Amino acid sequence: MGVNADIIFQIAGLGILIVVVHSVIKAAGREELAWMVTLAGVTVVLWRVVTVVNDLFQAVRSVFHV
Amino acid sequence: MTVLTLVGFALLAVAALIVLRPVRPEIAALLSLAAAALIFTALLPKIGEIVALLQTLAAKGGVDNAYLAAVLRIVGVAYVAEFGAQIARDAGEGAIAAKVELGGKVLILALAVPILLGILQLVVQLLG
Repeated sequence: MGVNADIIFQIAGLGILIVVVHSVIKAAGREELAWMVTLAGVTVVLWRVVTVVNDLFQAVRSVFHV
Repeated sequence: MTVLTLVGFALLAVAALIVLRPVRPEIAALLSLAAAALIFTALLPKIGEIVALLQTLAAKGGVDNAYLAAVLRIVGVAYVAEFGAQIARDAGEGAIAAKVELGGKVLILALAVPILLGILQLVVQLLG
């Protein structure tokens, strides 16, 4: 029984990607587009995190019968 | 799940968080939430084993199953409320964290009412 580190790598990689894309678009002078990229990235990450948290809550529910 | 896996995973998450926190705090908050949820999920099978042991002991000791179920539910509520409160506090939302803790306490108290009633009934029986 190990911990799944893939999701951490995915989120960290996506975060760094967003930082890079954000600064590139910002340097190109499209401030609002850069903001949209950040929003899209946060949504994708949130989607992954929600699945993880859902798994956790299901497991808690089965262990403690909450 | 050994202690080495746990600490290795935590250090990995911390390294990623140190890089992300100054540049993208919103992604960092989600990353720390994911890391905490993953660690908790990995710990739950062990907690399940301990709970099973407690249930065996309670069955051998003749403890009413309803009481043990209530206690387990309380422990579950406490774990989850603490988890949510810490994530909220980590993200800088101390007010939300305090409300989550308050909600956890209220729910725990509500769950503990049957146990309290049981104790009161026992006291009344002993006195009467």
